[in-house]
Amino acid sequence: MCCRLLLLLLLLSGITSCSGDSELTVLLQLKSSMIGTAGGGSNGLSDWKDSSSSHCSFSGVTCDEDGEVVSLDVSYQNLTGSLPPEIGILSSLVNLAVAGNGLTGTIPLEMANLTSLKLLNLSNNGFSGEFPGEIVRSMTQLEVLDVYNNNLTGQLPDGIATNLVNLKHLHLGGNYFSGEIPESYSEFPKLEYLALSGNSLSGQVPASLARLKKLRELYLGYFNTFSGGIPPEFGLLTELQVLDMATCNLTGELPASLGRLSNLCACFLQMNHLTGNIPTEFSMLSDLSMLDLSLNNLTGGIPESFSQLKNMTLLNLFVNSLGGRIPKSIGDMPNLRLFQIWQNNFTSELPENLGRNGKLEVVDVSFNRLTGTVPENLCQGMKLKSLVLMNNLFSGPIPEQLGGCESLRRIRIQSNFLNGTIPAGIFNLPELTLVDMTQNEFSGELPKEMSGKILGMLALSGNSITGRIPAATGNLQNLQILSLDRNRFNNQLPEEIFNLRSLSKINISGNNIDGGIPPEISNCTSLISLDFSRNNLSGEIPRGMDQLKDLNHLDLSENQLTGGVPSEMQYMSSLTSLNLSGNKLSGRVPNSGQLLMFDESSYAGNSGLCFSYNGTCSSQKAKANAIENAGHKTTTCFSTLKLVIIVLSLCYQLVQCW
Amino acid sequence: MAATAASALSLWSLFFAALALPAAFGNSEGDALYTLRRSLSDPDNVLQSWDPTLVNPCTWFHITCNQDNRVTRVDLGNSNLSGHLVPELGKLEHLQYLELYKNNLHGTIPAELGNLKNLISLDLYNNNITGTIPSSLGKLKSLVFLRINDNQLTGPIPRELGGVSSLKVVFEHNPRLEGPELLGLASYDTNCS
Repeated sequence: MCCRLLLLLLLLSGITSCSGDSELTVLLQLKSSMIGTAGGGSNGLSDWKDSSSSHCSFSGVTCDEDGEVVSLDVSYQNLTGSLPPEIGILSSLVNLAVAGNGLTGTIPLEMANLTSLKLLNLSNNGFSGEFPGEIVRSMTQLEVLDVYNNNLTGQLPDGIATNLVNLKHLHLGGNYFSGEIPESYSEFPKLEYLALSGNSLSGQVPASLARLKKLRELYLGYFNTFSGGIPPEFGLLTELQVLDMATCNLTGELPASLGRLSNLCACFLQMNHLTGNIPTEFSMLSDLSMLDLSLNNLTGGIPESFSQLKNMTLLNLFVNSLGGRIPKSIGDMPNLRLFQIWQNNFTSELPENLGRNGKLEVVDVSFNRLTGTVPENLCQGMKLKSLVLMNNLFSGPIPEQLGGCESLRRIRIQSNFLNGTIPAGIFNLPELTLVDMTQNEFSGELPKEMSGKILGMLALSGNSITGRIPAATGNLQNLQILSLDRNRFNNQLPEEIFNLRSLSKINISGNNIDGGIPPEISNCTSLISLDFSRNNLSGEIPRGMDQLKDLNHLDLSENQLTGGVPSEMQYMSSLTSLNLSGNKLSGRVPNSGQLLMFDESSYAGNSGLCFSYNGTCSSQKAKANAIENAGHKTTTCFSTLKLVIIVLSLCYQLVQCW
Repeated sequence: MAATAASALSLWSLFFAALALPAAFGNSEGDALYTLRRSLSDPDNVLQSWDPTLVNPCTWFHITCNQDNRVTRVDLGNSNLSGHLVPELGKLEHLQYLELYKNNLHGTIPAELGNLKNLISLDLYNNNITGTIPSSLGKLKSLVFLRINDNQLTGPIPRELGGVSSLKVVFEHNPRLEGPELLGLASYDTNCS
């Protein structure tokens, strides 16, 4: 410390009347330090050279009429060195910005000499050590101090407020500061922006911060772990527009006094341990656009008077213990775009007018106890992207209008009591990727036309849908998951389904499908899981199943399949689960390759099947029924131990390596 | 300057809000899978649906969950992926099937996979995986399939694998893998015709 001050004095004493020359020297020293060991590389300081032209023309450098450097902005110049003590020599500096580089090391104490600074921006670097509060105490002109996103540790700098009478913007967030917020931070007379978020701060949030009369934005959340709650005094911060105290361990209730913040636009208090009700006084927040109280332990209901919140665009109340009915007036909010209240105890109906404002984009009311019908006009503005109603008690049909909602991307309405026919248009929506209507009371038939180009998942299990599975399902080119199980589908399986290149999982079990399994099934090479069980399928298991190299799970049980077990199934190298039970298969079960993995439970209830290992295949008839694949002999002996290690060519390899 | 910093910060707050959400549920499973996504190169956009702002990964394609929204299957075989595995995969405690075969994965098999106590199938075959087979895989008492053939694995086959009674191991075409014999496991598939 002493040595560095001495160095500074020496350097300062080196300043002669030719201040311009020594400033050039300083800038070149700065360049060398800031570039660091990375060497030349690509950085914006390539024009900082010791030549005849003035240092005032260096990029990022601005001088005053006396040729002294007043502004230095080398932000985002790919500098990975450090800030040297020589910075303190540029005592005329008004603006100093080195943001967005990879600068490391500590903040030099010599910066205390920069008493004319109005703006100091060290953000988005890797500065470490403590923030030396003493350097700013003499920067009485300072208006902006930004050290966001560095590696600073220790306590927040204290005793700086009374000197920094002009400070408007203070950002100490995104570091590793610990300890408490100093009470003295309530004394900045002109502070408009205070961010301490993303640190390791603890202790109580000082109520005295309410004295910051001009404060417009306050960020205290994210990774801080405060004790206590939101000071009710914060209701006095009448200029406040943004209050962000999310994810910082707050307890206690929402102060009613916050209702006085008539300029409040965004209020983020999610992911804390807040309890109690949402104060009705919040309805007075006429400018409020975004309110997020999610992931707390709030109880009670949404105040009826929330209808007054004409500017509300985002309302997030999910994962709380809220209940009661959703006020009808929520449906009248003219600007509501995102409405997420999932995982609460809300009852009764959704507001009838929800969506009539033409702006609704996301609705998630899942995991409540909502009843009644789906409001008709949810997609009035063609902006609805996500409709999530799952796990409620909704009844009635899906409104036809949703079949024309071209903005829809996700429909998740499973586990309700919805009925009627699914609007045909849904299967043509251009943006739709996921449809889950599992476990409802849908009936009627699926449409004959389907063109949803990017639909990836179609899940309609557990309904009462009838008719044939449309061949048009084969037009859903991006379909990966098709779940039609436990419905009343009849007629035959359309072979067009097996043209789907991306289809990985198909489940049509528990229906009345008859006819045979189309041989085209072996073209569907992305298949991982296939369940056709519990239908009326007849005919034989198609040849070529070994082309389904990725098939893991195959269930054809409880059908009327005849013929034998094709021996090529032994080459289905990914098969880990096989169920052919409850059919009319006959002949010898091949007992080699992958089929060695499966015991008799995979084949139970097929009286005509016989097994080599227990002698049931001794009869002539059994041999005649056995299917043999042309090029392969059936094995007649095999390991009886459970454990099988296949070492096919390893011995060969070992020999080659040695 | 202050204004742009302010609006940048509001954006960051919303970003943090979105990031913070999955963590609340201890949705470490989504985070772990997203860490995998970030270490993979995915030219066919197979992982396009892997949206980390969703509450859990259960609606991501190629992911299967159980009733409790815990991941049971990762199906990414034959997906033109390159890059490497990540130790975070070991956090998927209910994972039963890890299917990453026929890609272009390099790097090593993380020892953390030994934490996947429900794993039934580990298929890494046909990749470019190097290093040794971690002995921690011997902890996987439910493992039935360990298919690691056609890689560049080296070193010995851990004897700990002998303690997994249901195990079927396939590891040919790893030219530098040593010693196929596992103590206590005797049988070879013979063609006695």
